[in-house]
Amino acid sequence: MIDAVRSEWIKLRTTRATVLFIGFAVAIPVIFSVLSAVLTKNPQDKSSRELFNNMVLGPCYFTGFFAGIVGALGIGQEYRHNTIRVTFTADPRRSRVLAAKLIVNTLFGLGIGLVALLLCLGVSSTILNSRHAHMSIYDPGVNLSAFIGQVVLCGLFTLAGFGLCSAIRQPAAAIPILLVWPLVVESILFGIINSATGSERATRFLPFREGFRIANSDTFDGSSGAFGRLGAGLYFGIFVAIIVAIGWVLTLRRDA
Amino acid sequence: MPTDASGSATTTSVRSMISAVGLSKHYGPTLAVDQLTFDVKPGHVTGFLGPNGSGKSTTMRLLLGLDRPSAGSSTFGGTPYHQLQHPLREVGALLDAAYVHPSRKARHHLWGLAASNGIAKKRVDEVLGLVGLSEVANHRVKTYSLGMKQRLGIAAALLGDPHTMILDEPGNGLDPEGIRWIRDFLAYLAKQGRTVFVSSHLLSEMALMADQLVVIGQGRLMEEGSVASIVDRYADKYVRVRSPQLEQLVALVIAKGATSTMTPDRAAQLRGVPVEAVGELAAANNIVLHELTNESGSLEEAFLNLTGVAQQYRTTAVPTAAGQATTPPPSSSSVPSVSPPSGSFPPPPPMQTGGRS
Ligand SMILES: Nc1ncnc2c1ncn2[C@@H]1O[C@H](COP(=O)(O)OP(=O)(O)O)[C@@H](O)[C@H]1O
Ligand SMILES: [Mg+2]
Repeated sequence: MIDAVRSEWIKLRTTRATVLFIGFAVAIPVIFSVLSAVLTKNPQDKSSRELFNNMVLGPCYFTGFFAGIVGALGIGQEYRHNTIRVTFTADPRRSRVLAAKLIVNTLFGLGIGLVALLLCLGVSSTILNSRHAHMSIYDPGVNLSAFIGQVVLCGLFTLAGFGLCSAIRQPAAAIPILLVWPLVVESILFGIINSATGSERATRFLPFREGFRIANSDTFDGSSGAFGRLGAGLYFGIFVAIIVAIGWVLTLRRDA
Repeated sequence: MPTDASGSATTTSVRSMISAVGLSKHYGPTLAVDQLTFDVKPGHVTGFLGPNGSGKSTTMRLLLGLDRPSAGSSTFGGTPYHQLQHPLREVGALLDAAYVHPSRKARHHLWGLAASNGIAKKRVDEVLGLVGLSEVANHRVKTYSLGMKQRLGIAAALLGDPHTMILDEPGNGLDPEGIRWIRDFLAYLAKQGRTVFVSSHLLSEMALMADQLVVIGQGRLMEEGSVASIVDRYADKYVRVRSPQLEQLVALVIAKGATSTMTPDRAAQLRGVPVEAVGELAAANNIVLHELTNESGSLEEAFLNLTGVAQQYRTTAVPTAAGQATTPPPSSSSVPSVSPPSGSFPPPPPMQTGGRS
């Protein structure tokens, strides 16, 4: 298993796509964070929670999507270039290969999430300090929970991308699905369910929507939510696990 | 993944022998491989010969556990591929030189493979040297020519110093020099006692590379044996003779039950008579000879004879494909000049000089 993980790590770090993705996944949120910290009017009048949401958590949703793409490409590039045949020839125990890919790519997804968040935190709090505003990851405590939630969300996004692309084998199809489903499909469903039932309760079961909420310090404020932050994470996690399981089973069964 | 070996261990359980037993593969309605049973023995280069679309690549994927057989099984020294502990150390495979990530450097491609089987990095530099890619090892694979990619594929197959090599059409896209290189390399590996199984759709290429042959047509086994014996059996053999008294000689030979055809350069091709008999007959009758040789028809002709079934398939397939816009007017001499549809044999004669498609 260690050999398999080492092999996947080498593969991940030796493509240009990976380098590009680290760049985008980190640079884009930092740019938004800086813009937000510089352009926000009267930051000293705003709460630490609001500033944290706008300047650290919010921009890093980008990273989550990039992490999803990383996951999709982790398996999808192998299909795109037919290297999956080389890979499964070198190690015909497919579950071991998949597990290694999953570990390496998910750690990578978690990693870029953490780096992006820390950079956003560092850059924006420095700017805010110079503008005499106060923002802290510990104040209120929910900021830290949401911070951890955002890192976890990046990892889960990687897994979702990985599972989806294992199942459909085409990164060019998996990646658009990964973007359109949460951003478009679930938004439309949200509107429909919301206006049909007149309450937001039912929409809690939209998986990606619930996933996004674990990375926001405004949510789960005691009153709101069918699930707590942990429950929401678990719910989205189970949803992702099902996608991964489908992709996994198909990969074991199909001809490579 | 692959099926279990259902006790397919044949007589000699040589560690490196490849053994296929009743291997079949359906893709939907297509029967790509049909009850294929054959052995590949160590110490030889065994050619896997068949027209395009006859199931060579599929068979190789079945051997390597990439595709699941619809029936049958295959083993390496008695062990199914997917049960090999470190497959790369036992079996080196080159399925397609294009199976590399274009933006990865050659060295990194091999690093990833080596790591998966616990092979040291310094072995990567060794195999790069063996195939002559050391100087371009840090170039991205997309900058490689097809020949370089073939070499990289062979380097990958050699990583684990395996006792068995499987190569799918390694000569494809190579210039004659490249093919010679591969041929010498495979012969060298076989001489060391390794098992080498290499496919091609060209008998002429196989005759240079291999000494044993497994021949398939439409997924079925057609022949198994040494190249020499197969060529011997299927090649068109005749005696070529030139003489100022040719008519007299031909008449004498025909009287002995042989047949004769004239060539444009005023020589006769005599079939059904040994060369010695022609010589003796000429001497006995005071006939002057300018030439007397044993000849055989081209290997590709032999191959066409051999894969008669596949040829049948082709002649029925051509008319349906004739609707293509570029096809010249109704076939004057039916088959050869028209490029046949995929899944059949490439245009025959000018193969000798390397007219691959
Ligand atoms: N993955 C696949 N799906 C469907 N048909 C296939 C697949 N692979 C091969 N075939 C079919 O199986 C037959 C044998 O193909 P192949 O093994 O590639 O032949 P060869 O390597 O001898 O040219 C062909 O008719 C081909 O179209
Ligand atoms: Mg082929």
